[in-house]
Amino acid sequence: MDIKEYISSGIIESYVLGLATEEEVSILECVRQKNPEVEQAIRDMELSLENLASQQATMPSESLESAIWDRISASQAESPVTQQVTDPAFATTDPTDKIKTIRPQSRKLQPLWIAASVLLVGSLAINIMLFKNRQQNIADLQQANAVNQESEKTLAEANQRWAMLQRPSVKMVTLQGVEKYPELKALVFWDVQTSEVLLAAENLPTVPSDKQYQLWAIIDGKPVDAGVLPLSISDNSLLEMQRISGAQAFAITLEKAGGSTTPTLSDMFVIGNI
Amino acid sequence: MSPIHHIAEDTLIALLKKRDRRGFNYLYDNYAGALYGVVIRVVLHKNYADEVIQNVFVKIWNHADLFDDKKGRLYTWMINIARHAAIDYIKSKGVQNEQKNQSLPDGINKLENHNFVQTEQNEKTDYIGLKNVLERLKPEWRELIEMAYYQGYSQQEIADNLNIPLGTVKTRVRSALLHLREILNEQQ
Repeated sequence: MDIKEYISSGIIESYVLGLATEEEVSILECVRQKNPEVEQAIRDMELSLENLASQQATMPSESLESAIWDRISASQAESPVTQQVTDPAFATTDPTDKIKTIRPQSRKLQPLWIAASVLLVGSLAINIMLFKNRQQNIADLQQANAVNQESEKTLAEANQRWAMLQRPSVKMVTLQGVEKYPELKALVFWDVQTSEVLLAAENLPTVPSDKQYQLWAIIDGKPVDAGVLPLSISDNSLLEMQRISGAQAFAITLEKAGGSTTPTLSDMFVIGNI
Repeated sequence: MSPIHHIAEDTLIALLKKRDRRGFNYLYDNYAGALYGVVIRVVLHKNYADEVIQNVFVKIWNHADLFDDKKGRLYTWMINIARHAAIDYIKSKGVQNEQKNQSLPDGINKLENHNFVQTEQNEKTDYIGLKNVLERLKPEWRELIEMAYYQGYSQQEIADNLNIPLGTVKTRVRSALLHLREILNEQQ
């Protein structure tokens, strides 16, 4: 389904206005769960209608508030379940008589009450302390888990690189920095049988956000796009590039973000022949 | 009066689900104007609106536990309750009236004669004098939103009444709402 076309068909507007047919609604309810763009469009439209309601707000006459509360109280009296959960403290019928008017019945604090209060305060303090300890333990555990996951990831990557290097069909091509950047280096692991290309490029200098590194394979003297590098490259990561067969060399150039169709040779960083 | 979020929406939902009177007070103070505004634009008469708004609050109160914040926003949910209650009320009045074979007050018999423009101009309705953001829309767009949103017409009914294809109804409703959003954003 073309999402843009779907959105511009007017289905979302029909939906939020309550005009959509049952079938349209069931499709949309399904699509919105999987598609954040559709979900956002629905929310935006709902917000607009909320905004409309707010801007066109009209206060009803003042007597209505207590009339409505009476109706609500009456409807609750009919249902035993709701009666249970209604706090009698709030069952006053005067709407102006809100919770601030609730006061202790007796002003005399008896010794037993004082003792109970002291115990309660003490108990609360201990609970708060225990709760804070627990929070700290949870935080520590989460941190340890994160570190653990990080190590596992590093190990997996090392194993992956090792496994790749073990394959007899894999060639390792060292890409050396050009004259301008003698200290740079990158490695291409190229499986000549499966055409898989993995790239380890760790120390390329960081570039402005509108630029991106791009890997090229030189095939029969012509540069062929082998994919752009992600904007930030984490240490030790092996980047999976596009599959290449029949290459004689690999090179990395700096291109505009998103990559180019032909390499900017003046901005070449590393190159390596096979 | 627009809802001012002194307390978080989830706190309000929790109060409503517990049937805590503070929930009602908050609800009324912050949403009564907006909901009443929707209701009166559907029923067009103060007496009717006063009756409907009571039902609306009772419904919100009694159905708070059916509200699911994963499926939508509380404010939208309440607006829809208000709108549907008002449209149902008008439809039942219309039916009653047919049975009694009497004529309804002007402005109420929209559903029978589809005479929107005349009703808009009717000086007797309490609707006149209310702020109407929709007035800033092109007339054919305003008519469409009036029919769809406030009068509860189906898309097919709109198409038949305005004598335009169903597909055109959908795309026009979209244009109308997108333009309405711009107007609302300008006014904020």
